[in-house]
Order: sequence, then C-alpha cells, then structure tokens
Amino acid sequence: MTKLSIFKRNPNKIKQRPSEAIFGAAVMVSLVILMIFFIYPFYNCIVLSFNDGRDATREGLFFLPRVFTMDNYSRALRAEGFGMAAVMSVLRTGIATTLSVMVCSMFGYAMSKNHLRFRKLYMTLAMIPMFFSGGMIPSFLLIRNIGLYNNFLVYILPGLFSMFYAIIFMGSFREIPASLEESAMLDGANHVTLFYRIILPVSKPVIAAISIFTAVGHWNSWMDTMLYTRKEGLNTLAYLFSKVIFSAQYLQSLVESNEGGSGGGAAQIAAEMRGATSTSIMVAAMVLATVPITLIYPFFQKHFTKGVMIGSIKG
Amino acid sequence: MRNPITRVKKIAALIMCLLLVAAAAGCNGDGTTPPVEGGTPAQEAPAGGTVTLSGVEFSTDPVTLTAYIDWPHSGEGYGWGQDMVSQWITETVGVTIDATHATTATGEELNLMLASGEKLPDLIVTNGFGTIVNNLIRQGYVLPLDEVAKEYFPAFLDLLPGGLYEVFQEDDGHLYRTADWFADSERILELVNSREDKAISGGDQTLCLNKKYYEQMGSPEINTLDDLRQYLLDCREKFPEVTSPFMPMRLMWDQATDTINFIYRCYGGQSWLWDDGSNTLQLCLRDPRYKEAMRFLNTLYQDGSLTDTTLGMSTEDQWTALETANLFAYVGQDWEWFSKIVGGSELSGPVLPVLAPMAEGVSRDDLKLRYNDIANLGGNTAVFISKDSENVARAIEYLAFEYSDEAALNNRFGLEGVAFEYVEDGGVRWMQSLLDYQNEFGWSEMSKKYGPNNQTHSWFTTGYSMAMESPTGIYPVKLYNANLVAPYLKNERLFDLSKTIKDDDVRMKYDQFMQLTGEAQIAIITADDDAEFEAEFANFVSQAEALDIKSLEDYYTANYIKWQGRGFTAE
Amino acid sequence: MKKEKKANKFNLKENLKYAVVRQWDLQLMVLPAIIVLIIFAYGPMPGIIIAFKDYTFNKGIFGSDWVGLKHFRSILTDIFVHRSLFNSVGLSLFRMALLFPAPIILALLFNEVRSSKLRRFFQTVSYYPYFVSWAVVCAVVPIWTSTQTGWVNAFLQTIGLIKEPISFLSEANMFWGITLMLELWKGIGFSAIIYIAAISGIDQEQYEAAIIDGASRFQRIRLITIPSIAGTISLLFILQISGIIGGNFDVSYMLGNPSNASRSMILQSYTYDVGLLDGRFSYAAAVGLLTSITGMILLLGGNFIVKRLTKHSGLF
Repeated sequence: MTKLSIFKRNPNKIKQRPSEAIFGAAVMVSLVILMIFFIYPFYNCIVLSFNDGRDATREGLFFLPRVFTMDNYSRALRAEGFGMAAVMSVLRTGIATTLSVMVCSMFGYAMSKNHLRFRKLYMTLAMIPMFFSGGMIPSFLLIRNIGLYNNFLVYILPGLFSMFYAIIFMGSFREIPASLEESAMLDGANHVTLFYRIILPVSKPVIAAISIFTAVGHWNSWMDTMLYTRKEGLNTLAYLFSKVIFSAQYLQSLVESNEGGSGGGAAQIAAEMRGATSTSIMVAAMVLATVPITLIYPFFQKHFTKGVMIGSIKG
Repeated sequence: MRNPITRVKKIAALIMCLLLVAAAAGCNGDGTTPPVEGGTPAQEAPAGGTVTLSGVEFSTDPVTLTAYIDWPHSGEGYGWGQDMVSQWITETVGVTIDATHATTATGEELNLMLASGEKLPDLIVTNGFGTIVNNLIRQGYVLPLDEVAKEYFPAFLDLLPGGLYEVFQEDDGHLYRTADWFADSERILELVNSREDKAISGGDQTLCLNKKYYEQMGSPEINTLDDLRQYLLDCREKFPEVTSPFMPMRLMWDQATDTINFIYRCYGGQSWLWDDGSNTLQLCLRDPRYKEAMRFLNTLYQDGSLTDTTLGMSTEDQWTALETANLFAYVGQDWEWFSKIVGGSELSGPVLPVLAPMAEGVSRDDLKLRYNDIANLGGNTAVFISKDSENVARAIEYLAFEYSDEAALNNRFGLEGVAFEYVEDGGVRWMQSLLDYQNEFGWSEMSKKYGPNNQTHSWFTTGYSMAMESPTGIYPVKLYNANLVAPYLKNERLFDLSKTIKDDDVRMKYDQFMQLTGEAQIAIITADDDAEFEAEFANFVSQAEALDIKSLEDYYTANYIKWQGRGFTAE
Repeated sequence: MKKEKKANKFNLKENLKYAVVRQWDLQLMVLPAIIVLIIFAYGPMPGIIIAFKDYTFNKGIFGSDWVGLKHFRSILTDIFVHRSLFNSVGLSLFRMALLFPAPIILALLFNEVRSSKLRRFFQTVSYYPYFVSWAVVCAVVPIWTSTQTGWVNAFLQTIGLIKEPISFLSEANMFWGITLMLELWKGIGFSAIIYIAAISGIDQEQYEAAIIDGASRFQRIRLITIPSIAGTISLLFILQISGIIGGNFDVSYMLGNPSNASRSMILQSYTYDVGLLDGRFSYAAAVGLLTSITGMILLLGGNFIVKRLTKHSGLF
C-alpha cells in the first residue's frame, strides 16, 4: 500500500511538466461534462416522478417539480404484492448471483488451464448455445417437463451459467502469474482449494464486477416471471413494475389505433390515463426499481482497487 | 478489518427496512383518490329462478365462469364486483367472471398456453384482429357458437345483432366468436330516424376548426379544399404564434380516422379499395383521385401549413396541442378535442366541426363519408368458448345475455337512474351526478365505480347502445342527416368485408404493405417540390408492386365476389 | 521423436483416464457448468427443427408437417429480412467502431483521476444507467425527446443548435444515432468496469519506473496501461464481434414505429414480430436460424483475425 501512496501523492514533488497539467485538466473537464450527461436524464426522471402527471404534459419540466406530489410513488407502491415481490427479488438476486458467479468462475478457471483434457470440447459445447437456442416454445416446454414451472428454482437454475462471463473469468485468470499457483501446489493443494484460498481472493476486482453484472441482470429480469410462473407469490419487483408499464402502454396504443366507434370508452380511458396513471407512475416505478441496486453498488466498488496483487507475491 | 459478512448483512437489512418503510408509506392513500368504499359483496339471486330481459328468459343460478383476457390489466381497482355493473350482472343472472389477464399485449402467454396443452378456461377474450383468432378457430380450440346455441340456448341467435352472424361466420358456416362495436345498420337507422333530431355527428372523419380563431377570422365559408387551404394561409398570417396550423390526427392506412382517406373522399373516393367499374378491387393508390388527395396534403406541406413537427407528433404531443389550442384545424373525430378537456363534459368546447370541404368539381352529393357508428364491422374484441369448458350451457347463455338490450345499455352507460337517464328524444344520457364525479376524480375512477365501458366486462359494446346515446346537447355537433349518410353505407360494409384477411401468407403480404405505406405516405406528403412529389409517389407505387400487391388485390377481389354472392350489394 | 508424434493422436481412453485420475479437481470444476448447459441450453435445441416444418399447436413440435426449405425460400424474397439484416449489420459495425473504444477510453480517464473519492464518484455515476432495465428506458425516451415537453429538444434549442424541435423518433436517419447513444449511455459504465478491473491488476512498479524515467502521463498510458490490458481488450473484442449480428432488441422493438422502421427494424425485432404477433412460429424460427448461423461465421472470422494480428490466443 505504501508504494501506491507514493504514486498518488507525489511527495517527491517531481515537477509536472505543463503538458501534464493540461492533460490532467482536460481529463477532469471531459469527465465532468460526461457526468452531467449521465446524471441529468435521471434527475429529469426524478423531477418528473415528483410532479403531477397531468401537469407534466402541459409544459416541459427541467429542474424542479412544478406541482409537487407524492401521488405517483404511493400509487406505484400500492401495486399489489409489493412487499412479497421485494423479498422475492432480493432472495432471487442474492442466491442466483452467488451461485452463478461460483459456477462461471470455476468453469473459467479450469478452462484457463491449457492442459485441461477435453478443453476444446468444452469450449465448443459452451460456445454453440451463444448463437443457437431452441426458441421460446421449446424452452417453455422443457421448463415444464422438468418440473421447474411455478417453482422458485426456475429463477436460479437455468441462468447459472453464462459463457460471456465465463470467458471474462478465463481471461483474467490467465493473467495471474504462474508463480502464485506453483507456490501453493508445492504445499500439496489441489486445484479446488487453490481456487478458493488463493485465486479468488486475488481476483476480487473481476469477481466484484461480474457479481454486479449478474445481480443487475437478475434484479431487472421480468420475462421469466411472466412465462414460467403463475403463483403471485413468485412475482418479483421487476415484474410488477413491468406490468405497470405495459398497462399504461397498452392503453396508449388503444388510443393510437383507435378502433371502434365514436365516443369509444377505451379512448376515453386512455385520455384519462394520461393523468397520474401512465408516464409519471412509470417514472416513479423506474426510480424505485433502481434504488436498491444502487445501494449495493458502492459496497462492491470498494473492490476495484489497485495493487491488490503485489502483497501476495512478495509475501 | 471488519468481518465483511456482517457488513453485507447490515446493508441488506438496511435495504429491507427502507423497502418496508416505503411500502408502508405507500399504504396511506393520499392525493385525489376517492374514498375507498368497502365493496359490498354482490348479492346472489335466488336459485332456480329466471329473469326476463329483451323478451328472453335467463337463469339466475349462481355460476362462476373462468376467462383469460389477452391484454394487460387496466390497473388497480378494476376487478369483478367492484363496479355497479358487474354487481348488477351477478345479481341478475348469477354470473361471476373470474378473469386472468395477460401481462403484455403481444400474446406470449396465450400462445404458450395453447402450445403446452394446458386446460383452457371457459372463455377466451382476445383482440379480434390478431392471427391468434385464426389459430384458435382452425386448430379446434374453440367451440362453434351456433351449434352450442342450438343445443343449449337458441335465443342466443335471436339476440345477436342483425347481420353479425352473416359477417363473422367462417367458411365452414359456423360462428366461433362474438364481436363488439358491430353496427346493426338497419336497427340503428330506425332508432335515429325515430328521434326528432335526425342529425348525427360527423363521426370519425370530420374537419374540425378551432372556434376561437375561426370567429376572429370572421367565420368564413369553407366549402372547398381550396377554401381550406386559403383559410390556413390567412390564419397563419394573422396568428403566427400557432405552431401546428393543420393537424392530421392519424395518417394510417385502414384506420377509420385516417386523414388521407378523408381527403380522398373529398375527391369522391371511398374506402381504401377502388372498384373502377370492372367489379374488381384495386388498392386505392391506383385511383387517380388518391394521388390528388396526396397532392393536396403535399400542397399544405409546401405552403408550410402542415409542418414536420406536426407530422412527427406522438399522441401525447397531439393532446397537448389540442389542450393548448395550438392549431387552426384538424381532421379526426369530432369529439376528440372536447373529450380531452377536463371531464369531457364541456359542452361548448373550442371545436367547431364543419361539413367536409369538397374538391373542385366534386359535389357534396358524391361525398361518401365513413360513418363508423352505422358502418362499423367492429370485432375488435372476440370472445370464444373454449373446448375445455365445463360450463358450456351457462357460457352461451352469458354471451346471449350480454347482447340483450338491457345488458348492452348498462355495459356502455352504467345503471339506469344512477348513471344514465332517458331524455326527451328517446335516447339516453349520462346523469349530472356521474359527470360531476368524473370531473372530480377522472374517467377511470368513475368507470371503476359506475361501470361504463369497464374493461372487466364490457366486451360486447353493441351498435344499439351506441345509437341510444342521445347527441342532443352533448356533442357540439350536428352535421349530417342520417338519411344522407345511409345509402352508401352498404357499399362501405362490402368493402370492409372484402378487406378481411384469413390467410396467413396474404396476411404477411398485407403487413409488409402496411409497413410500406407508413413510410411512403409520409415521404410523399413531405416532398419539397412537385418534382419530388411525383418521384416519391412513383416510388411508392413501384415499391408496392415489388411487394406483389397484385396478389393482395386478387384476394380482395375474390372476397368481393364471394360477399356479393352472399347478398351484400354494392349500391 | 517418432514416439512423441504418435502420442499427439487423440486417444479417448487415455484422455478419460487422465482426466478422471489426474485432473479430477479441474474436471469437477467444469462439471456444474456443463450440466446446466446440457439441460437448459441443449435441451430445447431440438425445437429448432420447426424451422423446417409448419408448426401448429395441436400437432406439436414433432407432429407438425415437414416443409423442408420453404421458409428459407420465402426469406430470399422477404424485403423486411433484407432490411433487418442491413440494419443489424450496419448498427453492429458502428457499434464496434464507436462503442468498443469508448469504455476503454473512459476507464483510462478514470485511471488518471488522482483522488480516489472523486474517481469512485465518477464510476458510480457512469455505471448508474446500467441498473435501469431497457424496458423502462424505452418507456421514458419518448418523454425525453418529446417535441412539446421533452428536455432534449429544449436543451438543443437553448444552446442554439436547432431552431425547431425535432421529433427524433420519427426520423429514420436518426434512429441509428439514437440507439447507439442510448447504448453508450447505458453500457459504457458496464464495460468500463471490466477494463478498470483489468487495469487494477497491473503491476505498479512499472509505473514508478516509468515516472523515474521521465515518461509523461500520456506516454505511460500508451506504453504501459494499454499493452497490459491488451489481453482483455482482444477478448472483449471477440465477444463483441460474436454479437455483431445481434443488436438491441428492446430499443428496436419499443422505439420502432412506422416512421423510422426503415432503420429501426433489426433481425431480432422482426423475428419477434413475425413469431408472436403474427403467430408464424416456423418462419420466425427460420429467420432466427439464419441469424445464428451468420453470427457464428462472424465469430469464427473475428477469432481468426485476432489470432493472426495479436500474440494473444483467441477463444479457440
């Protein structure tokens, strides 16, 4: 850690060339501008979510809500089964992410060894499904025939392995110097213990990264809930919010196609729906749906630190 | 270093607390929502009894019918037994509908249900125009309603709106589905004619002017398309702050409110098909008058009265424009604007519908407007009885019940004396108490309580109920005399029938053609000069021919001849 | 020498023995993944044959009639497939050119920020859009780009870039730009993290040595950072190429409309439309099959290129 600090604080006061200073400034400026573009759309959505729906359609809202209301949030939260869905989302994401990272990293580690027998076979076996899939109906029939329909495990098992992440693990494990492994093997460890005791702790950045990716994927996944479950108790937050969004969009599309005679009720419903029910609730749902995961992120981010490797080799 | 696991636990606990707090906070209702009434459980009618409606006896035994509804749920509070009408249905004929909704509008779940061989519910309710309809029928998942009726409840066939059976029967002679918004033309005309006031509104295809500006301009006569063009130019000069001078509400082939089609009819055209006299059908793009209609719109574009921004507006944007009166004229439904005003009960909205302006040399007598209430084939919603149903007798009885006049009226308006009342001319109108409620809480709250057009049960909106709505004093419009509109309506219906596609490959052709029209028509209208207009139009035609629309036209012609053979005439 | 050459021939028994006895730990680590793959990835695969049949529900997958190459022949004349292919490939090429370097640059920029607190703040912000699902984003984009009330138009008008509000979603020519920008906004943080993770594994001594030698920041990036993560870069490059026939389904499906269809239709959204909305499952399966095969060819090609151009081994 001490070596890092030298790099950062520059106590030896090596004179910075002017080009360095300009470079540094340019970096900061471009990053700040970029950040604005990242943040503003969200800020806009937050403002919209706190504003009355009907009023929002009159004129644009940019910096502050005009007609403040908590109505959108209370309506989004009143979606039936919200509490249970929250629990289900957390459970699902937690369990699926942990198991999935384990499976993918183990696979990636083993595959990073060129002397693994049948390596090419495994590789081909894993790559083919990246392109070919049976399709929606055959997948559905399979899930049913195995007995995963309406079962919590349908959230965990099918998604356990992702070749994309496995490849990333593979690549990062390859970068680990062989010396690390040799020193452990000398002590008589097999690959599994080696993996859990040494490789994983050293690969914290990659694991943190893949964990977060997997977690977000599971958190936002709603289509499997729709297709493979029927019990209300298995609903996830993502699914609930998607339902809200689709209801609003559906009514919108009714108006746009406008079948049916004059004075049609459906069109009137939609005309009314453009009030608090449609876009502003959607936006509130969007904000709500992203809050939990962003709370977790900083926790993972700590692990993207530098120089983790140095201690373990020298030590 | 602290044990990382406890940290995880702490954070997870924190998150759970936050979520629970938020959920609890959300439980306290606030804002403009009506006080929640404890839902009074629907009283069940005495068993073994009957009730008579529209001269037909219905059983009153309680029964629950399961239904799968192939569109997303309309939102919180819409459920059977919540509103007055569904309560009335349960009290009157004992039926309760236990419905499951789809999550998306694309039909995944229904397709999977069929593919997996799951047991189907009693009723299946879908969009009447999707290919799922053909699949359900052809692959034997649904029962023929006429057969079922003959066996269990023959009165069903009597209660069906006149003409529905003939129009919706399959080629094997059976009727498999119900249809809503179907216009029983004869009966409707009878009703309208029995009223003193025989005028009807402009319907789906009306030219509407912004009253405010129109009066300031001195209320000039707009009898021809040239008058309209000039009017727009004059208005823009005087009121340059208006950014959407002319607004076509919809530019979509085969849509009743399509603006291009409206203009085409101002040239004497009709529908989207064209019979040049040889008893064959061609797509209207072959008709020179269609090209002239496009040319007119392009002229407006070149004038600057029809802007790119307007053409690119989403529906939300259009409503904003209507609400802020940011236009001089639009073509669409006459009630479109005034219904966007709060509560939709403003009687004197800023809209002034006018008679359709004719093209040069075309007389108003040759005008064939599409008046949907009388011409509409409807069928937006199809209700089927599935082959797995164990309540077939009660199911068909329920379908018949929904077509009775009483049920039709109640589904559309709510309950008599509470939601609607009869007025002088023999029609019905919503009561002020309902309108006040709607003004305060909005349409969907009103529908949840009183039941009009409540998606939970109003799948059968009939032409009769449409015609019963008294236009007197409600709509600020009284444009056409019903008798004027009637004669060519049969022709319209014949064209509509010819356009119905049952073959999947032809359907694909049609979808491709629809894709083409969406882009091509815009390209033609937004041509910057006449040369480009000609080029774009020619491009449209050649692209259409590359798509082989000839096969589409042949299919239509075959239908044309078939339906003429079944007694639908082209007068 | 001859004996060694003979030993190169693959002997199944020998290899199995070796695998089970000497490599049991490694093989065990591969096992869970393989099991999951076989069940869930290969299990439904026989369903692909519906591309060669006329699938109907009541006859099922195996009972439906064979039609051979009928659907593939229809594809040849289907202008929408041609257009979708054009859009899919065109978008992917632009995606490779623009969206592939971007996260690398961003990761490098982050790396140059001295204060770790600030760096974490930037990272968090850049990654935030990834958390939102595409469904929500696509539902919100029409609001942002609305000509009457959207902030995009308001912003562009305020800084004087445009006079009249533009209806972005109705302009076909803008669609590619919109998709790419949305993907950039949403995904740049995602990809940057992978590079950040890779950069964090670089030996710090190299930097210190370079500073002492007087290398500028720019030089340090060029000569140390980039080469050190070259392996990660080439890996991700191959993975991206494999998705080249892909595209963003959600954006095309939800933001596509008749006005921009000539540019928004991609193979996935067209397949979905045809399969579900039109109920023509067999035809959709045929289009899907074609898509997959093309993607596979491109992957092999990309792998070959990477192997040739760099020292790093490709996937195969």
